Amino acid sequence: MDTAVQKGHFMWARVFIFSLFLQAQASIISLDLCADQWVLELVPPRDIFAVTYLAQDPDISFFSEKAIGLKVHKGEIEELLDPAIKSAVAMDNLDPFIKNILEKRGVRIIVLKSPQTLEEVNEQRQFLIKELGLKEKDSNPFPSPPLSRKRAVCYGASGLSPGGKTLLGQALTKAGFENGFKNFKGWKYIDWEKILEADPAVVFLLEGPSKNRHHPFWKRFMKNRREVELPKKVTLCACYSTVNELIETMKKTHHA
Amino acid sequence: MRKLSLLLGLVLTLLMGGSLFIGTLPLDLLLQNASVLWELRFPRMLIAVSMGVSLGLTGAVLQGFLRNPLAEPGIMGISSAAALGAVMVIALGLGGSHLFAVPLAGMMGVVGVTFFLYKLMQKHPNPLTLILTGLALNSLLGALMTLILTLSHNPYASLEIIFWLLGSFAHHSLGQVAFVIPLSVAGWIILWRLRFTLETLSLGEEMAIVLGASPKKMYGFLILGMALSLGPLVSLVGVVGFIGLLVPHMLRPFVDHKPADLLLPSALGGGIMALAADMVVRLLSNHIDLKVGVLTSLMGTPFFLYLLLKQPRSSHATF
Repeated sequence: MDTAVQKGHFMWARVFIFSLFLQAQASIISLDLCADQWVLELVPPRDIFAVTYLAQDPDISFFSEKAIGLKVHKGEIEELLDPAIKSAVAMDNLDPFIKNILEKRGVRIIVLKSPQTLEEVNEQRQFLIKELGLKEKDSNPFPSPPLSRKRAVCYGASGLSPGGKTLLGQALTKAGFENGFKNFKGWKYIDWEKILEADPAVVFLLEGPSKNRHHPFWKRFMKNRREVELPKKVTLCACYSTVNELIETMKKTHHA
Repeated sequence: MRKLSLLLGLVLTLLMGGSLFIGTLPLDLLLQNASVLWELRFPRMLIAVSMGVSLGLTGAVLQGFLRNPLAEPGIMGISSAAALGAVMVIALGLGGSHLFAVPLAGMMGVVGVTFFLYKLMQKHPNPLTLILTGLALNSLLGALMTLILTLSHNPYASLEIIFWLLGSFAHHSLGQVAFVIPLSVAGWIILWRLRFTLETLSLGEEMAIVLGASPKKMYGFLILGMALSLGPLVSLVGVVGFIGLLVPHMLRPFVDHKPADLLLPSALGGGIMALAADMVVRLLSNHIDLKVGVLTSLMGTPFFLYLLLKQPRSSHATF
């Protein structure tokens, strides 16, 4: 009888220790939406201590389903003081105050650069895998582009639009389009005369429905062209999966 | 004053014509797409001129009325109210629902603040109340805008709000122009009719009352004229700073510091400045991304400081 009780206690103790072990493993926190995407893409959920509440918003987070059930935080400093947190992943605009406090508490901070090109997406991916000691997952480079003559542009309703050497510009090329704004580097404020000059067959909108659609000039301009709204969850943050999804979305338009 | 107005009118007319030929589209493509002139550049020019005229005129009226050279059109909170309405609609994601969604929301904000100011000034018709209430309103409305920006989950909406707040004359339709400009013209007429009051006010408020001016009426017309002149345009274009402060200062010495004589030159000067700033923005657009509100402040501030420092000490209080 005693032995049976002892055995039972021993089993519960093992379960308790195992659960402690599991809890102890959940030690990685991401500090902003884009860091959430990287963490959710690469880190097993059992190792994630918390992500931001934005990670659960399906409009802006590509991995919203994966984030449901995980602990979330709002970036308040008191939420980040849990001793279980061993590593924090953030993008390069991390608040120095938070960085300082976490570092003082011995938390390892991994700062990722916001990738501006496809090459940088790969670099950041490799960097995070190495820093967190993760196993290399499927690391196929982004698909090579099919040949095409269709011209397209990405256009932000506020006017700010990506040029040739940007991630979105490169995604356009990967999806088989000729980028109508390839002549300028980085992001630029674009007026409609420049779009007219670029003469695209497809306009990818970055910011959802815009009042531009009701403007008589825009209506006439878009008559024989396609206007495609890109989901925010694939344009806001760049990680491997979001960029691949972005290219696939563009490709579908290309073949349509 | 007449010569100055004629000269400014001539310059403005020339700029209005010239601005139609400034843009990023090469001439051969422009000839193939003549609608660009009519549908993009023409409304842009009209909006820029109207905004400039409104800012110049309201700036001159306010500075004369309050007898305070620091007064500028934004001081009463009308521009902030328009901006808050617009910002709210953009943050809610309704900005794209209709071409008039943003300007109408802005105008609703203007109506609210105008009604409040009107009621207040009927009870306490004095310049200090107007200035202090304006300051309080600006602070409150600014805080509400910041709150909306903070609560917005959509970074693109936040970006659109920030760009909108910087002010731009681009991409407005003729329909919007036809909706907004008549309201502004009505405001200009009301403010223009206040020039006799300004004349008497230059002798002091008490003297103006002795000469038959009614403070309640004066402030009522001032608020209505300001709201109509600025509200619809700010609701459409966003906030364009500094023109309303700078232009009256620049032109005041040419009209012997007479507030009533300053109205027309200041309105024309405002139109010139806004249109010229927009032309510079368009000319530089291939090299640098500028917003017209940013340019007017960038260029205006040093020039304003230069004017202030150049004035003899005794004339600082003359306006």
